[in-house]
Amino acid sequence: MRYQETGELHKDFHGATLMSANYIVKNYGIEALREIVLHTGTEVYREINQRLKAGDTSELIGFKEYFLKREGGKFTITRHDNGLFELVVTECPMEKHLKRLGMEINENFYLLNKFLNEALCHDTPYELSYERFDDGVTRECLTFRKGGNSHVAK
Amino acid sequence: MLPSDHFVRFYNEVFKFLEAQGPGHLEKYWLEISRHQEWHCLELFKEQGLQGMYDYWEHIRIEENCDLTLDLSEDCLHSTMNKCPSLSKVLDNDATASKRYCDHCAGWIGPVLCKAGYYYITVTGEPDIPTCDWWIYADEAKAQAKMQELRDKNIKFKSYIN
Repeated sequence: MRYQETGELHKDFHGATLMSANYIVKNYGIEALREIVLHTGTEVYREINQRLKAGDTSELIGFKEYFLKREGGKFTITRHDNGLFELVVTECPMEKHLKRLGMEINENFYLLNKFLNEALCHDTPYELSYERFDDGVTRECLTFRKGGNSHVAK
Repeated sequence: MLPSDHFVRFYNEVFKFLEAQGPGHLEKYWLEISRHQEWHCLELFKEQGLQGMYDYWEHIRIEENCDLTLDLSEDCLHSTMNKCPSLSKVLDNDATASKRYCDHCAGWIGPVLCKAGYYYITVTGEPDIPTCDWWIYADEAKAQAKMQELRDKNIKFKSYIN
């Protein structure tokens, strides 16, 4: 898997991530955040994006599972034979650490996650939704983009 | 979730966006980072001085997996980053690195140290080589002496003095 990391974790970076998102939205607007995260999803995570274009969801699933596990998240992934999946996160490690830092889980937290999923799937046959419920549980569903080619899925 | 391991690559994208906005935008952002970082370290630096700074960066050395040498003496804390994990991750990246990536450390550390009453000098090399040095002094005269030494050796540096 292209994006594995090992060694110690520095979870305070989550604080810097949200602080940066807050700064960008406040000074440049929501579309600026979307633009930055689009570059993140399509260039930083090029391997994920390229594989999705080719109908291979394995890198995306591996990425989600690996880093949630590495950071101690609580989640379940339901995989389907056609490469689609549903990810339910009952305890998000990023959210947990942000609360520890005393940071507000605000709209920009939601936008970061939503935009990242959109960017990972940019210009691919897939869409990855992001929903957050009142109790903090989140649900991400990988589906075929409306009007996309379902036969490319492995 | 953006993994905490990959914050630096997102950060790099923020830098590229801000660079494209024109002069001064990056520096203002780093000041905001500095204000955010104050929560983590300003009181420690004020109360425990160079030892507190050593303790802070020793913690960072471990958590951020740095190949970093810290040398604490009575009047100076000297750091040699032998291999920076932050720039290394940005370079080991399918996205391009901002040429100003290395400026971000001084961008937030300098203002915090100024507020704590200390003097900071940094030497960063080429933007694609993950090594750097910095020195923190409690005494301005000693900081000035260090800067003169670097000038005499024709070494480019940045300083945060007042």
